[in-house]
Amino acid sequence: MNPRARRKGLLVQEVAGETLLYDLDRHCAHCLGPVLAEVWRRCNGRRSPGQIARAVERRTGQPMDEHALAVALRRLARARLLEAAPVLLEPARGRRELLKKAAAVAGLTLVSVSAPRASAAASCTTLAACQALGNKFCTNQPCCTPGAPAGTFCNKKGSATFCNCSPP
Amino acid sequence: MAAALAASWRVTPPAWEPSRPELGAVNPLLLRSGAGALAWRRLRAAAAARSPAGFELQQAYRLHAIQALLHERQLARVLKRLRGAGVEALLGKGWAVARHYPEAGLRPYGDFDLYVESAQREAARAVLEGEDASVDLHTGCAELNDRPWSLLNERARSLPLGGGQVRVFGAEDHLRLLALHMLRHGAWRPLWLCDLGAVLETSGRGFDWGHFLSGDQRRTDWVCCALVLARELVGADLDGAPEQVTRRALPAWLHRAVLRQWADAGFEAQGRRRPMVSYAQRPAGVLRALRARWPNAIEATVGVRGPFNGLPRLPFQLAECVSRTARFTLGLRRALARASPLTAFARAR
Repeated sequence: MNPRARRKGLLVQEVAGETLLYDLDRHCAHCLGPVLAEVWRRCNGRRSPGQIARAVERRTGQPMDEHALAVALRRLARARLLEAAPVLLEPARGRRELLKKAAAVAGLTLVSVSAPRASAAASCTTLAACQALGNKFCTNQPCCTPGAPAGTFCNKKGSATFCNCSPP
Repeated sequence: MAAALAASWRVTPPAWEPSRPELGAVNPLLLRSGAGALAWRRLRAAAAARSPAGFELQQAYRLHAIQALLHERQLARVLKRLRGAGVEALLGKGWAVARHYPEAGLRPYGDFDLYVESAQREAARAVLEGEDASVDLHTGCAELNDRPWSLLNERARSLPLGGGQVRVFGAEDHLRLLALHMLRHGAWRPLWLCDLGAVLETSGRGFDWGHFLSGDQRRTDWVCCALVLARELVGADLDGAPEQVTRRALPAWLHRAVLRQWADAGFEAQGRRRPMVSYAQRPAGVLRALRARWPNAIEATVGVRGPFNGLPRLPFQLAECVSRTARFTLGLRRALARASPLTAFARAR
């Protein structure tokens, strides 16, 4: 099976040489390095992994062997950015070797983007604390469970005066 | 903070090369105030960019860029729904000011400030009921109530957004609104001064200073001070502004008040604080809560419509405290009267 990039439910934004993807279904964001972004773009379900590697090499000037591509596809798959999960190559000499080879290719990074630590007083907001906040200052932090429904964030809906824990 | 954000809104901002300790000290303040993305843009070529603090600023930059994309989609949807109900709203702050920055996400915002005239308020509220997006609905515009709504509407502009249109305040009205809003909240957020710089410098030669300076003259003097503050603290370019603005000398306390506010890592903006009425049942911490509500010199002066002159600010702060206490007490009495069983019983009879 050839790898196919997921497009549905994703917002894509190019910023300063990086590709930012927001997963509307899982409410999480990822930042792809330039080479990984090129791999993702070329996964159209028709190109084989070898064809993808060659196309990315032509585009980026970065050599890309089967091991680096395997790491790239594995990272994309783990982040749920591929619709069709490819048949991943078995590491030639163990995972560590695979990663070492991949590390030689710059731009294969995938960073999850979340609210920076210092911008959050706590890792989550309790329901009571959230509901005490005026509508201009909802933290958009995850709400602590138990107390608030799982998967909710402290935000404001419509013209409500105070914040509440609700799905993003 | 001021050094980190100086001219950060420009297409090519000056580089910023803090030491790692300096960056570590200012990082939490930048992130708390939503200025992380702006700071990252200036920092990215510096050695300190590769530090953990630098990474956090970069994450803020990425996060805000993605959030900008999400918010635009939401805003386009909200406006379409409002228009479908015959409500024509003006958008202020948030997206309307972020568009003056060179990249999406540099100027984050959490909600949409929509302004409607009073006749459309109920229709707007009906549309927004149950709306997912965070909307701050204003009836009229308090900061600009020294000019008729019809004039604000006439000077408003339509801009493309998500396949539709959004109406924003005219440049002069918007700048005045932003300056007054900043002062009313004690200028606690450095981003607001950057906004003044960004809006001013992208407004072009056609900016009508006469209209900007018209209206209530006390407020006009306040906004002149706000613009000079933007020049002196974050390097906003006042080229082309009339002398009434450029020659306005600021009282010494104004700089101090702003910088002290920015440096206060423990500051919590109004709205983030636990409501005072909740201390009636659980009084622990009430003294700290009262201290947190002591108005800074700027918000106190604006609150009592005082002048920005060289007089000491303590009398203004005391007067503002008295005024707030009176408003709080009145509001509490009304709320208790509404909730009173006796009142309910009397009504039922």
